[in-house]
Amino acid sequence: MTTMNIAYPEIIVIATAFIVLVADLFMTERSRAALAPIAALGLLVGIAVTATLTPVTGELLGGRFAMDPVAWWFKIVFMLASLVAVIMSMDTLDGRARVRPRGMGFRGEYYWIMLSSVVGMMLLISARDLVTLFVSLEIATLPLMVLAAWRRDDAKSGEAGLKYVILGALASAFIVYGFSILYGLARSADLNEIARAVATEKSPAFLLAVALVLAGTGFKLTMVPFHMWAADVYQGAPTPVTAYLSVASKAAGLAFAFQILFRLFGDMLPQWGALIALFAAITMTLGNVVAIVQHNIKRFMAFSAISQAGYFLLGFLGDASEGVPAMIFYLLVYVVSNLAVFACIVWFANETGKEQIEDYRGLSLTNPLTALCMMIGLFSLAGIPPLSGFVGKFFLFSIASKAGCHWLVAVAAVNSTISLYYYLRVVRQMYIEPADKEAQPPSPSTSISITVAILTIVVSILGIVPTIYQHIHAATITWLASLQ
Amino acid sequence: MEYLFVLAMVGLAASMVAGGLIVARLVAPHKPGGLKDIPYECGEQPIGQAWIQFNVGYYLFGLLFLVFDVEAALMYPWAVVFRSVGLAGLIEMAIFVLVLIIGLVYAWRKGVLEWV
Amino acid sequence: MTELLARFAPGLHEWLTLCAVLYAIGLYGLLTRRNAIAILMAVEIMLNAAALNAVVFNRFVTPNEIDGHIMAIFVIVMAAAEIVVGMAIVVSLYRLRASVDVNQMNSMKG
Repeated sequence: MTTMNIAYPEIIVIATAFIVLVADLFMTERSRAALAPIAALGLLVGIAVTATLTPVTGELLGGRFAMDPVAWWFKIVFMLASLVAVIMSMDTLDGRARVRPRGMGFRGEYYWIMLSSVVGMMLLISARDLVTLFVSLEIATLPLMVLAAWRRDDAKSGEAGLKYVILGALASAFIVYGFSILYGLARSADLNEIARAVATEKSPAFLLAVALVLAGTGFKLTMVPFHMWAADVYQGAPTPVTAYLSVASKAAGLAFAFQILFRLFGDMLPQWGALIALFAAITMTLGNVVAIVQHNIKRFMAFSAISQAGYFLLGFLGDASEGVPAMIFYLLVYVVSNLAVFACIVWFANETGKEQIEDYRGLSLTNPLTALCMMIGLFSLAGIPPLSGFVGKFFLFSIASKAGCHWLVAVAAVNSTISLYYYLRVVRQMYIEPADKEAQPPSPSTSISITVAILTIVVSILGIVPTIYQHIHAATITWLASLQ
Repeated sequence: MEYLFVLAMVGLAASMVAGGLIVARLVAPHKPGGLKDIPYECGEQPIGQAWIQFNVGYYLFGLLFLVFDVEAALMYPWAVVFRSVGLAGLIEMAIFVLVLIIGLVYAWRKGVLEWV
Repeated sequence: MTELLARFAPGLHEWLTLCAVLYAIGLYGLLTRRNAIAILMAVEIMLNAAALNAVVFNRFVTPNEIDGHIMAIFVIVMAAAEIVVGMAIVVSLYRLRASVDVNQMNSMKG
């Protein structure tokens, strides 16, 4: 069982990160355009190696690092998301944007930091003891803070970074204090042993630890009332970084929640159903209601992402053998749909330098294909059939229904309608409002056009092709057996 | 009863400090002024006030220093068990240090170590 | 003398109380301070309280294991990393704004 090959994906990605960093040192500014393809190639190799990994299960480092079918899916999602993010950042960083944002240089560092964050996320889902879990969580989130503050000339970017650092550090302090108490109660740092030791624990110290760890998890997942950082960070961060944050931090948050709720407190999860249902309802409602009144498209997408976190929480209700595949599937759908929308936002910001929703008026006349792709992405996020977002939401809603939370299904359905309303606001600007006559129409960009096209096709077919869900479901069954 | 010892300890500690000060006042010659009034800066004569704005370059050095400061915290446990972990441990630590050295070389090449 | 000292050696509860007090001080500082650097210091106190907690549990609960010590070392490392990132951002913000007051950081509204 001690074969190194289960760690190859991480090793490849971190090696790529260092190759990018060292190559950056010995390159001229012009030749640094090659750094993004190097990073993308490394991620592609990582995905290929992960995809051909056999066997998928195994453990290393005395059981502190383990690979399982669910971790496999998470790793694929992490690497795919960052691959798309790297491609999306190319135009902005290589100076091909018509409106060049100030302070968006330092390509070597940028890709290096992005890749190290991916490694952190990949370790996060494979961690099997408290120390590894905490360290990998920090490796995953600290780079995101640096990326959010990337534009040194822009006060908003710095402000976003500082808010992220302070609130992120607060969440880490909660988590690590909770972990230290758990360690003391369980007399072990191994996640599975802690799970066994605390299965019947009812002491106040244990409840404190649970509350602290869950608050930290809620922060990472942007669960209301721990969502405050998301809006400012999304708005202030450079647009390609926002795109990466919206999918990567959500995926990492879900991975962390899996580790906490299923592995650590798996025995107690059924008793917490009412609490999770309450948080899910509050999160999706608040995110949706606040999104209605937003004008900045990045802030708008931030509240949309918060409400999506509420949908994810539905999967923690009821039977894990159905909830886990539904959540992973919806994560895949969410990542692809959100990246499709954000690719359009990044491209639009590159071409016009504008990020208000009103600025998108008449986009269907000047760039019909891009507008169509953005519309498909938004409709998938809203959950309109036959797009994949509908299928993903359907699975999640049916789990809440089977768990007996019929009121929650009603709340979620109402929320989907609200979300459709505000996603349609953007579509209305693009399709119904007349175009600005004076403004120069934005011209398409090769890399982003190809990305958007591929993502839109995936969004459209992901829900129709059943094989992916079946594979996730089979992976979950194996994984659940290993939890016991 | 047990706390009586604590009280005795407090009293003893206070009397040690007070005694030292009183003896110094009685025995030491009293000649104030001159160089004696300036703050002690490890033997250097201070220039100007301490409440000035420090050059931002200090913070950059501080940040860089912190990395290697913490590296030492990780190397101490390894040094304690150096004999028992053997060659494998040495190689692992070499990889760890190599990563940090890449960081240092990077900062060097980027001109962070230049004083501006 | 050593026996006398041993009688007054703080036990698990005293140490845990110390950690909790340190943690609360950090949390209080984080919530009330307006200077960004003071907030980072408060975070540092909270993280170090957690590290001390791990060491205390290691000493009293599992004296033959070292998991708690390892945890403490890594918490120190992560705290340092967090402070480096935070300070770097504060320094770059200070260059733009000539202020580290977090109450003035309200340029984004919605």
